[in-house]
Amino acid sequence: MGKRYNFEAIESKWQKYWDEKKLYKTVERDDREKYYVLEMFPYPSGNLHMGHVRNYSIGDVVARFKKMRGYNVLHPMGWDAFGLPAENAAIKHGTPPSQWTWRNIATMKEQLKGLGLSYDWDREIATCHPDYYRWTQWIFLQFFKKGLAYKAKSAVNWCPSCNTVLANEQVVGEGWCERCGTVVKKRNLEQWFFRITDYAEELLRDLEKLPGWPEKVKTMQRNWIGRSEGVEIHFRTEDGDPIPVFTTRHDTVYGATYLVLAPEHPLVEKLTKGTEYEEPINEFVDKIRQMDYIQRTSMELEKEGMFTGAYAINPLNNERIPIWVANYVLMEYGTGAVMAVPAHDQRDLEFARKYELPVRIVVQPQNGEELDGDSLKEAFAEEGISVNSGPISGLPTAEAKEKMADYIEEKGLGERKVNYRLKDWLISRQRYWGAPIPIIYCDHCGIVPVPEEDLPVYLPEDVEFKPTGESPLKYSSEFLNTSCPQCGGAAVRETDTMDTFVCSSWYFLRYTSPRERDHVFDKDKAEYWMNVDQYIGGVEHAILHLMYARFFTKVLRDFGYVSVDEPFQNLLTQGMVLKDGAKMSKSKGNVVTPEEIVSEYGADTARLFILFASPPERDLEWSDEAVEGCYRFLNRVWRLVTGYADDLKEIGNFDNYSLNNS
Amino acid sequence: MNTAVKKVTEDIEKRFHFNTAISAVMELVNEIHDYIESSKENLNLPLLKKVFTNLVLLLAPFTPHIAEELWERIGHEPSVHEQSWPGYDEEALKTKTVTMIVQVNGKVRGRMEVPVDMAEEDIKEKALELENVKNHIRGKEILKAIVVPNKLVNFAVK
Ligand SMILES: [Zn+2]
Ligand SMILES: [Zn+2]
Repeated sequence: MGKRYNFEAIESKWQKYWDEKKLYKTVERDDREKYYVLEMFPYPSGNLHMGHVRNYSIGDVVARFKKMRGYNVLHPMGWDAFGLPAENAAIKHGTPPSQWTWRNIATMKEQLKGLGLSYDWDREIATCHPDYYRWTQWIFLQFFKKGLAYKAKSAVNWCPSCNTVLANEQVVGEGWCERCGTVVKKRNLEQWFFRITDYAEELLRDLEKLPGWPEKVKTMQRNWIGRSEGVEIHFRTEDGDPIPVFTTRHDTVYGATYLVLAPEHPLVEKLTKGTEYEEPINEFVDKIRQMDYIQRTSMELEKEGMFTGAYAINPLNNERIPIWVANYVLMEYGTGAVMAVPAHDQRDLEFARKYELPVRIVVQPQNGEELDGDSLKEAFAEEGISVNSGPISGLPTAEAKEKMADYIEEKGLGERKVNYRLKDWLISRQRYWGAPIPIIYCDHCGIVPVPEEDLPVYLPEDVEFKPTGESPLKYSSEFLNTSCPQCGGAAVRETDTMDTFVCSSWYFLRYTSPRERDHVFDKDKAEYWMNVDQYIGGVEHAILHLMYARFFTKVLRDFGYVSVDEPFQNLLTQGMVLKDGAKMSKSKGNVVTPEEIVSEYGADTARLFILFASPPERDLEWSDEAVEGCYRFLNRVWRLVTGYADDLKEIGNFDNYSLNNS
Repeated sequence: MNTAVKKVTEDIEKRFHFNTAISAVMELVNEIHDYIESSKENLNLPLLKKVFTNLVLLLAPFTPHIAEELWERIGHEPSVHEQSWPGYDEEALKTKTVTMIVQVNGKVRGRMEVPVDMAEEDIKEKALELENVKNHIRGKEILKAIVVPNKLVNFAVK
């Protein structure tokens, strides 16, 4: 075996050279077609892991290849730099989040450079930099002006340990906080929301414009939006209070034998106040509200409920049916009230059997079989022929639905409606290390947006953390106290910060003109570069980040800032890096760090292994032998080529030398 | 050589199958090795230089450092990363093709591979199918289209 090639010397030599020559600097030019390749920017945790190496190596091959193919390639990198770990570190070690974050960024930037990635570092951005978050705040103000940002009281997921509100998506497993694993509770708080539901239809429809996205991801997005067509029927209490009910099976309305309210439904209190039911219902509701979200939506949930003592009137047949409260109905879906048709819905049937509520067949199977409500074992949820259903008796389900919807609308008993599972985006976080929401509260004028020329609302960096983790903004009088931009009187600032997903919903636009001082980004440059031709990242972002980025792009288009409908033309979701069959993790002790591989074999071997071991979408199993094999291959190439280097140096370059006889 | 270049190009461009692209490069290294072994006495050095040159170009996106070093060592000016990707002779395939530039109002909006001497009408039709061209034409009126055979087509729109 000959000498091993000196990768340390070679890699540092060329990294320095590329840096000094600014080889990867990109400017807009019209003589070449543009190509924008982007990898999802990392959270600056302090250390690069193999998943990052994989993500960025894939992007780098694409960037270098496209450049050699004659494209003008934009390949930027930055930092998704706000978020909770910085606060946890602050509580633990007493280091201010900003200091901790910037130190991590410096470390990770060196690690990225050590991999020889072809980024245009002049375009680096960090979402925690005031030059960035002032524009995040500016976007918030535009949303506010257009009515797309609003404040509302709502039952939110609350992590008692992190002391913060969590989005539904941050509640994982059996209702645990994604960050710390604590069981999540519900709480009522005034919160800021973005009206993403205004765009539900377009977000759904435009998935069809994305043939370059994996089907799997599009399906997840479709399910998350969860569009369903049905009818909202106006039930009412005996006292005449309306109880709107959304159903996609309005053909079964004659089979409704009881009505169920979500425990959070505002009518619950009114119906039971001062009655013998008040106390037991309150206890029951409190118990349910302690349950977490995932449990309550699980099919395995043991259905529990309680009669409220009140009755509702079915507007179709004026039947008086009992009103119950139950754990399986959620305020977040539909109207928070459900007409229960136990004969034709499995959950309703289980509940009806448990509490001995009547079961009435209103759809019979088409095969002639005759179902009986008393003996029914399993709900008949399929299509069939309507029976005992007034105007639609005798009709097959599809026709029955049409006719019933017409009938309900004609009689003014309700109306056709499209319902979405997607809810408005809760963006308030009771955290410190995020972009402050640019709002001021004045006793006189109410909610007042911070004037654009006063942006950014700086996050005070010299703060002390309490061990409880509560936001220091609440105790910083310097931050809190201000004057009202409208009347000049004493006023206070909003202390909530924005969900970090807000910051990452527009970063790909900022890369097109990262140092722009007067605008959110340069419109012409965004026009030149957008949309992203190839986006690469983990499938764990399939729903939230990608949905929010699509939403922002559409809103900014409607504001006139971009002309594209979609931000990412093609999407590649790379697989995980596994070792011994499991995802690398500290707790499993199966971690190989990029640093050890780079120092032992060099960055080229690390890259080659990671690209060679598996196609990008698939999971990759770590193999020390395969790393060794890639290293041997590069040494072989080295010996082969350098063995003739001196002879070949002398020879002129024959550009048109025929290769056909090789 | 031709086959290797074609395989690597297509695996990257069409499918992002970097693993099979790298396999093809490894295969190529074996072939080069065999060639050198079998003709040690009268090596065709200009040919070897061309072969090494292409090998290094193929390696450049994957292993950028060693590629840059070897590029310099066989007598080229850096940077290998500013070179054009090696072309390959499509002769083996049915027809010869050329890459045509598609412009809208004089700005490059796309490229397309077309057979040599394609008819003007066909060229226009094919160009109008490019996604990016569509985006730049949408809602506008095409005033005229100028075709420079085998080179470019330009749409003037308003
Ligand atoms: Zn928590
Ligand atoms: Zn005021």
